[in-house]
Amino acid sequence: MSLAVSPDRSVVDDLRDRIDRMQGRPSVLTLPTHSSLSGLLALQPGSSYAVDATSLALLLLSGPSAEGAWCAVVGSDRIGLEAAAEFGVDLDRTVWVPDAGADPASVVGALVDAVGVVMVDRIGLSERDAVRLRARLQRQQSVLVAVGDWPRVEARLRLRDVVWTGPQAGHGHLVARQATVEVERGGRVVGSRRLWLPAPELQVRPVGDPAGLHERIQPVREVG
Amino acid sequence: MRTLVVWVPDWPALVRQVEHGAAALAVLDRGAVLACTPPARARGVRRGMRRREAQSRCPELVVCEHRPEADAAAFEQVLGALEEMTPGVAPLRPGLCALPVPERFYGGETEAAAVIAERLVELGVWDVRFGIADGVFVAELAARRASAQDCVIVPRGGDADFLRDLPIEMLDVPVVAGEGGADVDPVTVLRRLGLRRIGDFAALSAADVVARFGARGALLHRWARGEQVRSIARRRPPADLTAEVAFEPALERAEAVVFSARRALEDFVGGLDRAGMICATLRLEVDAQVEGRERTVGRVWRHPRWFSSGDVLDRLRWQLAADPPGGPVVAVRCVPVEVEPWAGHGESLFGGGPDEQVERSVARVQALVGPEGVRSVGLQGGRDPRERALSAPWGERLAPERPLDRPWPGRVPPPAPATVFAEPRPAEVVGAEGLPVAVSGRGALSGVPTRFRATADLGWQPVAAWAGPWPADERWWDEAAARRIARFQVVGVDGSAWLMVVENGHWWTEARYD
Repeated sequence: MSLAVSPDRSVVDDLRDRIDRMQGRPSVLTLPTHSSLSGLLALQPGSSYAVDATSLALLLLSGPSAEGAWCAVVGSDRIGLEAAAEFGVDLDRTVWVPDAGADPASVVGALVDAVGVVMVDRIGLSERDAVRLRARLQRQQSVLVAVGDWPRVEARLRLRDVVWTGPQAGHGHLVARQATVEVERGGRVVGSRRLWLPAPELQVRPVGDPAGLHERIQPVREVG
Repeated sequence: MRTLVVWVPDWPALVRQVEHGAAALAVLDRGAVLACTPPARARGVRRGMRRREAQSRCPELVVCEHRPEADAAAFEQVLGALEEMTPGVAPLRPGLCALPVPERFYGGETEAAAVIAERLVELGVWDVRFGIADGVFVAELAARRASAQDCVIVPRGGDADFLRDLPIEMLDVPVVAGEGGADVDPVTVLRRLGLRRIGDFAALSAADVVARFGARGALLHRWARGEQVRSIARRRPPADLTAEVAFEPALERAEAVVFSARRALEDFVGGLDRAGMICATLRLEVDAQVEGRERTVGRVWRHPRWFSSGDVLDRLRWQLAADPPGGPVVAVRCVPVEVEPWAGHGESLFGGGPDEQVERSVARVQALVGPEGVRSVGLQGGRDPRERALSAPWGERLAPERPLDRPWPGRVPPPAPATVFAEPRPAEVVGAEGLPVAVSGRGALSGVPTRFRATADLGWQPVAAWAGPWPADERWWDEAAARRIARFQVVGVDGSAWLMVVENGHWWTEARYD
């Protein structure tokens, strides 16, 4: 962090929110979310989200992870670690519990207390445990991302119309994927966006977004 | 100062012989023989020989790879024994060390060498040779001319005379190699110039030698003239940091053991702390009474940063749970294996390490799913997604087997699959006629894939696009692990993409791009 003379407004807000959180006041802070989802979805602390593809879960994890939050992956012995790193999840700050054992509710609960985002895969909880976990999430202001179904989620994210480019009858290899991300809240689709997931240069960004182009084109500098 | 050099010939082979128990044994370094045992030498195995040649001379030869750390660790025992007799032992490399001659104490140089020889033979090192001279270099050459348990003494001031008639090749001992840094080996050039004896080289003028051979040549020249070039760098014996706690009477319950060991283990960490050291690897040994005999169970624990007293107690608790001692516990020992000074850990000392909150919660999860069930993750080098993933139990350091930053030709190109199955799932891929698609030994396809079923619990669907085959001949040098496989990427009409592999006509799904 640099010592700016006039601190950025957002930094002040951020600190204020953090103080609120420490004092236990309700906070309207949203967690950092991947830039490709900005305007479509912002992670709310204390909520849970359901996704239907592992890559969507990794995309949700990557925002907080890039900002320094710890992540945990529970119940999935088949997570692609390299894909997680490509999506921007910091593996140094990731805890992996491949098998949640006989008491998954306690395992997820203990991790919710410590890390910013918990990703769960193939874990079934009883209704009672789910309610308790929800209370714990809200107290700790952490986020839960479930692959598959999960009771009482803030939003469900789905992939539609997936198109891979790259392979043609034996030649080439998988290069890039375009897919539409649909966000569903309370049984209604409230928004969707066509994303490169990932683009050929392994970025995730909206289709048609010139941001990727800008990064590659360097402004011409004066010689002198 | 008079210097005694102790030389144990073929130390690496000797260390391995204790492990393997084979008479004829050779240690290989990068495919060439580095050291061998006397029975192997009697059959004609020589230093520098290739593996196959050595094996053809001596078919029952046991070959093992060179492990310098193991050699150094085993030599520590010899160094310790020498240090008990005289201070100031300087290890030169495993199997070779120098020390000032303790002649006054033992009543003469020959006597001192004899007493040391006796002590080393007690340790089981019977082939040990000694050389005494004014300088380390000459003493080493003298030791090489000695026979087993014997000592060659170069008289005071006689180093130059001793060297004069030796062949010039003797200058190229490993102690000299690597110093200075010239790309041409001066010894080879000197031999071509017709200088066959060290004395001829010593007779040249120092200025000429520097002009022709540079710094390294000058060093060799001073050596050849018997000048004192290097003084012995004495080693300081490692302080005994081991903590031991004995229980009288013996304790039955694990909790009681942990509770009673608490004080000693806190002192152990405190003692390290006062010495300005941290411990990143330690061995916990538990002695127990089992059927009237004492049995010791030891286990090495690693820490990503360093052990606090609480961490050591946790490890002791886990160890007692994982390998029960089988009887009442008599003693617990904590032996530091890797100790480092604080310097270099400054950042973590001031809070750069993982959150305490995370550590506490992870400890709670470890209590639920076991210490191995919580893992830290990373990446390593490799060709397929499963090889490239790396994980270790939480609290241990990640130890990559293969470097990530090298090119891995033939690796599955990025993007990486988001789901990598722990075990490949059986799959089916058929061609236009409904026959399974096969790949020949030369990488030719028997048909174009048209329909597939990625896993047994999914339905059949048409192939929208596919890429491959990418043949891989993995680990062909290792018979047990060798695989001949071909990889494919298959995209279904529903947009799902899969990484599949065909081996011996069977299809498997390794990963899903979901």
